[in-house]
Amino acid sequence: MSGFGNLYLDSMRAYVRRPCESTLRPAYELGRDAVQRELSVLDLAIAHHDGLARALSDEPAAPEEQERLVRAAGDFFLEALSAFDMVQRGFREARDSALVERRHSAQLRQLSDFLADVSLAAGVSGSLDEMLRLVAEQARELIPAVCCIVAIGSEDNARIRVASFPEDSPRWQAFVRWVDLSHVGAMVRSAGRPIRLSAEEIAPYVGVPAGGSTPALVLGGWLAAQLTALDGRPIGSIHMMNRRDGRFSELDQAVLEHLAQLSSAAVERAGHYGSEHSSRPRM
Amino acid sequence: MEDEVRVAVETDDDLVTARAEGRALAQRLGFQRPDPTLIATAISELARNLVMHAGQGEIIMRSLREERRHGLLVIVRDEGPGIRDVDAALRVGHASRGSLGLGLPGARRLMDEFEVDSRLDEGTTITMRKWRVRDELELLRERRERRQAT
Repeated sequence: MSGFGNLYLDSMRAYVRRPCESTLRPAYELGRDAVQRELSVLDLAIAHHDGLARALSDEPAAPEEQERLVRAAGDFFLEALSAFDMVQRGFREARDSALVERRHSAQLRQLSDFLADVSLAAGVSGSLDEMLRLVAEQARELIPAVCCIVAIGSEDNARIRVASFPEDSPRWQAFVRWVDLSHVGAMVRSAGRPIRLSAEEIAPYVGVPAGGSTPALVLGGWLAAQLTALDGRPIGSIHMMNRRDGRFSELDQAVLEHLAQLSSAAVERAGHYGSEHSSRPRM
Repeated sequence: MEDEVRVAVETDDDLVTARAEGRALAQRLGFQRPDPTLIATAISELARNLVMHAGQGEIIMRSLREERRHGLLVIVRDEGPGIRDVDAALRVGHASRGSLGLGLPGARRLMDEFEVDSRLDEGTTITMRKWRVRDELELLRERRERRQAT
């Protein structure tokens, strides 16, 4: 540290005596050097303040000259700190990524609990609609979307089985009655993975009913995934509309993919359970 | 009138010129402290890489102008070996120099926009921008000046 401190003092002195880019550059190099030596910002601050005190005592000057000297030393310090700022930004970015990952893990745990609920619903009541309602409601919990629609059936005869949206919204009610999912369904099938569309991208494929006396519904974005049987057959699709706080993200897309996989298994299981149940002789 | 500066970079000393030009342009465009310092630092990081990996190249700095913001564009280009994996090079920990967030990833974080176009054995062009939001008074003054001029 003393070697670094002496180097800092010498370089700062050179700069305050003759402030220019070539005498300022060592500050940037010293900042990088400090980061690479893993010195802390406090070490740099100590080096700076010690250096400034020495410079002021070694070179007594008139008050206005002292002010100039202190300002120049401040510029030198700022330059050295820029390397720390660069690294600090990296730490912040890493922290933000860790937060997203933590949120993702929590969502996956929630998904796992949800799977248990779904199995229970399918096993106890045997009602596919009840299970799909759970899927739609849970999907709106995990991905904060205004509306979720689940359609069941192969490509030609898929039809909307359940939808979840704010109960007091006649616009969404009308939309769900009216919407034709065939274009989006075909897009998901051809993509072979969940698709994420912005308002502009979805507009040509899905219209919205006229609002009548109320303002028409505005589609803000669309997320869709296919439900697939174990043998690869399409057995339906799940659609999310209008994220509550902005655009659907890659993370939303990944969560919907998990949800679609879990739901596909549950739908297939419910189908098997239903057919076994109905083929049993009634006692 | 567009403000543009070009600096040929071949030796370590050229870094000083590039830094000085970048800082001066940022100040002319009204960037407040510490932005000119951060811009000079980002330029330094890329210029170091250029000298180290490509040997020589060029840095172009230009003013940007939009209705609500002013900015500074920096293009760093070389005809060196190129970057094999750009995504990896932008990640912290890719190289020893970048392991602490210096180098390419460090420069990216100091600027608002950052694009890398690299082709193996052809060279690399890095384009970065930093924006300064303009205040309402400045916008009003400019509109008045435009009205007076017409």
